[in-house]
Amino acid sequence: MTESRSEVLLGTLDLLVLKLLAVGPMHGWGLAERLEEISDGVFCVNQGSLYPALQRLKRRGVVESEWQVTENGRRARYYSLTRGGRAALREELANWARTSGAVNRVLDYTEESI
Amino acid sequence: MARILAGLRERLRALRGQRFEAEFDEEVQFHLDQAAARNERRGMTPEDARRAARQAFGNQAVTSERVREETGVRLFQDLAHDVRHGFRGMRRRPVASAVIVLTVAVCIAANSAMFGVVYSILLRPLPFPDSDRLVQVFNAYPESGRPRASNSVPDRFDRRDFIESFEDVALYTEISYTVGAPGEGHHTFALDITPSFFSVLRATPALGRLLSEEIDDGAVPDVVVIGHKLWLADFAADPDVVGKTAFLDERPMTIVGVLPESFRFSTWDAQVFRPRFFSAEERSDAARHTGGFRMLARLVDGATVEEAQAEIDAFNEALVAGYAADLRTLVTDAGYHTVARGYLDDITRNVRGPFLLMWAGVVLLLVIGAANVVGILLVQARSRRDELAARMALGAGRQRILRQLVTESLLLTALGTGLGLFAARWALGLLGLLGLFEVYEIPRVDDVSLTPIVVVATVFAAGLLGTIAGSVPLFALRRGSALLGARRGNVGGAGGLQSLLVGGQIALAFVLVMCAGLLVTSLRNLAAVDPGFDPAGVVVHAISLPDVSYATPEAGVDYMERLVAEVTTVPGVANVGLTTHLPFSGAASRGPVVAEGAARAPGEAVILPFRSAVTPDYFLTMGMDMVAGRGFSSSDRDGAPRVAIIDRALADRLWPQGDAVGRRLWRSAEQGADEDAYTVIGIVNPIRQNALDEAIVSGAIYTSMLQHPSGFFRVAARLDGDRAVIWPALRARIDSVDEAVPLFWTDTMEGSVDGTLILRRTPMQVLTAFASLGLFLGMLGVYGVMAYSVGRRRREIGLRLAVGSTQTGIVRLLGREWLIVVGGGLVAGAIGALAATRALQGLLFETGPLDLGVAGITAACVAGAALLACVPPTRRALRVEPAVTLRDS
Repeated sequence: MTESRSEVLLGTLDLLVLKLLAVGPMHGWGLAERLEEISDGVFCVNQGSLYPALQRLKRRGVVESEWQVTENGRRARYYSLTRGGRAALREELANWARTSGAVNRVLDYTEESI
Repeated sequence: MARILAGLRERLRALRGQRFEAEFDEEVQFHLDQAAARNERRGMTPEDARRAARQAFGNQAVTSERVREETGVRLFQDLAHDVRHGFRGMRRRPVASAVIVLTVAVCIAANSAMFGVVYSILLRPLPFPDSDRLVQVFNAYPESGRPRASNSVPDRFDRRDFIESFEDVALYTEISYTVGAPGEGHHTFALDITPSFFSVLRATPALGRLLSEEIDDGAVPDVVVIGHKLWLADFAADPDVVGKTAFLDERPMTIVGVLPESFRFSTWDAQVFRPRFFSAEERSDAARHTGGFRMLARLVDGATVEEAQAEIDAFNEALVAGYAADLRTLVTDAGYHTVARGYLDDITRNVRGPFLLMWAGVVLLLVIGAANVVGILLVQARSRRDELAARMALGAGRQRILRQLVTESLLLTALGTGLGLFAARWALGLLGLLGLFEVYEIPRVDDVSLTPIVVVATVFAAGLLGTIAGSVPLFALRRGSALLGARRGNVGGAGGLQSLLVGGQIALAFVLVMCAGLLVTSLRNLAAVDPGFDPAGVVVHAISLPDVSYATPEAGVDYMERLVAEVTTVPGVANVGLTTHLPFSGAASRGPVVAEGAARAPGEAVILPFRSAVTPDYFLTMGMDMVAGRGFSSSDRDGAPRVAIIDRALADRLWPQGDAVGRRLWRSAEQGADEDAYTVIGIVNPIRQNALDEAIVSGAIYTSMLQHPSGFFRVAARLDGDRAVIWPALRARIDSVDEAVPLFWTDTMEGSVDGTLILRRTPMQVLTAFASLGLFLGMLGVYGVMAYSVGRRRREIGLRLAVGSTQTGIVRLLGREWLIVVGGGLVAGAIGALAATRALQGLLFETGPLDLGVAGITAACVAGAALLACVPPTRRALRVEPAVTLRDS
């Protein structure tokens, strides 16, 4: 992973996470899995780098987290959008100028699923 | 808002570090388990599934560190860690750390002391409300040699009534009174003021009231306002002092008010304030241009000094246009105009240059010191490259490393700053030893301190220094991709940045040394100026005759003659002379003179020679040479023909043919009545009146003290022998003439002359000290860069020696590097000095800013110091054992 690419992805990753969380609360693994599916492996991002991004979004106040129990009885940290997060998402979507094929696909997918 | 709160909450939560750790581990574990489970579902073996999950996740340690960074609060935990790490580093590198701390301490001590002085004197607002609206106003007659004269009474009423930018205008005169019951008086500074003086300053009394303007034109009420110091000293801080009596020159006055302790006005430490009221005659047109008063005005809200100046200019123009033709010509030819200037600007006008110069010097010193700190940290970072690279590989973010480096640098800087601030008071004391705080002309000099503002500014500057010094190495190393690249071979000299830093130090040291050298030369030229009299061995006192006991001129003359007769008999006193105005005393009087039969050419300004009245032996006492004619004798007194002695400068102006003795003149702008004429009986050599660097323009005129006695005069005595014995006897004898007459302003003539040099000598000494320090720091820099270079090139040197290079060859190798660094610095310094010394020009006396001699000495000095600094590294290089070095590698 080269530096320039990761920088491009940094901004995109935040937006993708917000977009995915707009559907509903999700834990980190869920987000990683969804991202992997959607982007067809175009983003070969380390799944680990999702967590700093989540922490960053939490600090910005657009995402909040809560420990919940999953269907199979394990404790997991679930992330969800705050009200400010929804506003931020709308704003960022409005500002979204640069689009790549992969990003578009993700956005299309979630538009349908809402 | 909600966002901020969320952020805060998150920080607080993360503060509980351990829980954070555990929770994050659990979260990662959950992630990995889920991923592995999915991989198993896709048909992998459990083992492969786990490995694939970990692979997809990436480096856990790095992730953990990044997440921590994102929480933001890591800072506090890291800070503690960095500080510990920093202290450990300091112990590991004691010499380098000590050099940094001491460098910072010296630079900070010098800077905060100097800034304390600059702030206290030049920048600090005056202790009056809205003091930036105070304006000093004075008339100027530059063509007559008086670029700064006083104001007349009518000016005050004009400017109060017609200059709309002025809210109010006050006049004041610096004067002194003998305060105390008759026979017990002591000399006290005072101001005669218009009552508006206090309202212009917006002063409020501590007790009683201040003066009111109610009685204009009327009789002067015998009331007085006293200062806090006098209230303490003479009235034992009596809370009921208002209404009591104070004696001024033996006349009883009623105290109406006491000023608060905070009230300080100008360098004249007045403790007595008497109201002045003016008669119709004093206020009439005839009183214009007679001068006698200083003027202080307060601008109305929103008005500027420039607007006031423009209004005054317009007013003056209209006024002069209405003058009678001869008066109009007189003032126009004299270049009459009025200057309005911000009060603080005005009182600091003479000291601003020297103080800003010293400040600039100390800032340069700080920059040189900072370069040293950066240089040392740079070398350290290079040698720690492996450590830092390893930490980054282990997942420490670049920010994290930066933070650690900055913390370490801040730690060193903070220690140095603490030491420096502590030493700053001592540095201030050093400035005091240089006599800086005893110069009468420097306003507020008795109140120089390290105010909180100075400390805050210093700490801020030091913090900036520490941050920059700490971060430069990382950026420098990153640019050279040295951190991640790890080991390049140990070849080549010091880094470019380090060489640049040292070159810059050399350049700045050059500028400092050059400036100091110019100041030294200038002062030497100035001290070599002949004042026209011989100050050696002359002691002086001031005497103010109380005008009740000495109400008549005869009584004054009687006192003077008795005084001279008594003092002359004191063993060891060679001569005694009295004068109304003593050179280099800070007080002088000037007035117009016109020669009989002379007519001013059109456009020629009236001349204003210095005036004083002296006793017969005055010239002898002062060592002034008579050029022609005779001196005064005891018969040149009231009733005898009026006589004058003029100096050669004035004689040449009035009678260029050289036949001045026996001619007549008037002490006025126009020829007057016969009985007012003075006959010139002698010519003396001209003297400098106030400063060694002043030009002698229109000379001086002396009249006979016995003919024109004054109640205020100075006694000059030339002592021949041990001053410690003779001087007390002399003073006792003066007291014995009339014990009720106070004696004050005791000084030596040498001291007075020397006092005028302090504003030049102190900057010279201070700048020389800064230059020496700067040069020393530059030497450290050169030493550092050469030592580092030799250290890095050990193998190369060993190799060269092994294949047959001579020691000369090695010296030449190092010399090339030295030449690039130091030579470049010298060239840059010379160019910098060209610019810097031009700014210095106004402070130099008969010394060009491009003095080649000084430039040569500077270059030799700096180059020599830089050469000296690389002796130890060179010797180390020559001691390299080829075989050992090669085996080591």
